[in-house]
Amino acid sequence: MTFSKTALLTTVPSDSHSWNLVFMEFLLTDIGYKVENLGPNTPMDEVIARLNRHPSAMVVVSTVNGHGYIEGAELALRIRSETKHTDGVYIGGKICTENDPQTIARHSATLRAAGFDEVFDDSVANSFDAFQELVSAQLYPEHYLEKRVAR
Amino acid sequence: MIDFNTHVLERFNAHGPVLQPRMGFSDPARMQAGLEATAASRANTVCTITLDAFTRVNNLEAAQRAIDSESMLNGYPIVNHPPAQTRALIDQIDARYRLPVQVRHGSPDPLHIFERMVEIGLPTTEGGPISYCLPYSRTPLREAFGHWEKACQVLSSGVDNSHIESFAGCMMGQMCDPVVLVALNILEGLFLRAHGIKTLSFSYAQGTSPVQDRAAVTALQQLAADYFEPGSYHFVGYVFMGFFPRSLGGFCRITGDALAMIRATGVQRVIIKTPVESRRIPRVEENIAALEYCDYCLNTDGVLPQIPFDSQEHERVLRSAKRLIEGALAHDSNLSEALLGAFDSGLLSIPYCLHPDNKRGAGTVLTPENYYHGFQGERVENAFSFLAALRQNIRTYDCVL
Repeated sequence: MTFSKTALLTTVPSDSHSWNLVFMEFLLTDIGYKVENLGPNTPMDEVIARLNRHPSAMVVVSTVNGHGYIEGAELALRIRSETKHTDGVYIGGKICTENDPQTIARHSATLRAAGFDEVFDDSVANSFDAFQELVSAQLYPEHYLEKRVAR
Repeated sequence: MIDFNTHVLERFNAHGPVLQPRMGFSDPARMQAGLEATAASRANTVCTITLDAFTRVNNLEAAQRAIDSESMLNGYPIVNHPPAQTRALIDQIDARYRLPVQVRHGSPDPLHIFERMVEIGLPTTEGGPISYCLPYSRTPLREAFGHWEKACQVLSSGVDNSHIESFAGCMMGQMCDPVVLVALNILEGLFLRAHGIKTLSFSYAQGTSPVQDRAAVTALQQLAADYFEPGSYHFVGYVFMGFFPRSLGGFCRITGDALAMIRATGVQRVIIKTPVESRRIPRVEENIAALEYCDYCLNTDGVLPQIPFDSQEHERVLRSAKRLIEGALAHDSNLSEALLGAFDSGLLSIPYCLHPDNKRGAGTVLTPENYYHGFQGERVENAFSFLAALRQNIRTYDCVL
């Protein structure tokens, strides 16, 4: 497989979970991205420095410890103000410690306002398929267009 | 202070496996209630103080802010609370129940924690320079070795009966060939012993097959006997640490398989889980109920299944782990350098561990017998077969129709 686009895969500084990042690396690789996985507890400075060194087709923040709505917002603001990255920035997993739809909607709005293009909280609704479709679409726009026309 | 290793060995001989919860609260009154409830339960127990995540990464200011604002931490901030207060907790459990307390922390740099333990007179903890660095931190492995050398010297010279449990049997919690877990236990044990720690325990986390687990723990016991003095160590089994069954029945069945393996092999201590594992941190009562359930399983005829002995798998684990241990030690005459060299050369590596000092050439597959077997090189799984393997115990034990 030839990888034309790079996905930068990361999490928030307080999150020490690994399996979500390992799985996302598998998934994005399967779809066709070259994945750079920065691993758990990623310092924000490292994400910023990495984006300033090499551009990425997208940034995927995967977090499950419930601090995503706090640290994720800060990370998005920093990516949008301290780097030239204008392409997609996505966050997903469990973005807060609550799992009622209102709270998730409220935090999702905050995260989008901070600079995320899309928020995929997976604790109540299955937002996973939507994420998969979206990242596939970016890699294979023609195929995606055909699918939309077929609908 | 009670000698932890002697205590566990004696209680095991008299009453069978000693049971232990994970438990830690930021508020000293709640911590005291948790210790008291563990000690007073009807199960054969030892007590635990689990530290909070800020103490773990030595962010004592953040821990203090949480204490000052009465925000709940996910464990007991032992360095911020006055030593006399913690000593009073330990003394009370010692005086009323004659039971020891183990400090659990998860730190790649535990010097501040061990210094406080010496001040309090607490000799028992867990971890290691590999097992508390690679899976849960970004600390360079070489730095973690330096930190642990210092910390072990402080603990071993500061208390009489220093005891450390190597956490190497729990690397990443799941999806690891027991060959790696067994070899790392011995290697980390040698490191801890070389830096003065008086007695040790070796850990092993339940995998996806109690038959493989029995074979692997038997190999671990044989190798430990080759490298360490009799009576200076014991074994601790962990109920599964990965993606956990969600139903109460699933909890009972997976715990039953873990305890059956533990009974079959003679493992002396058990770290338990609770039925709320897949959802949240358990309350004290939920921990006590789980401890008493385990006690019931171990002491009631006909509850636990028989676990067959797979001599072929045992032979594989024993032979391969021995090869890893001897290969690692051959890297250098200095033990820390040998282990660092073994990770650098890729002889030792933890499948799926994202730490920069871990070579990522190895993977794990589930065999038709539900055994974890390692492989090197090209990956054989896709995202969804991998996810299915991660969730194997949910499928096995929840039995969703």
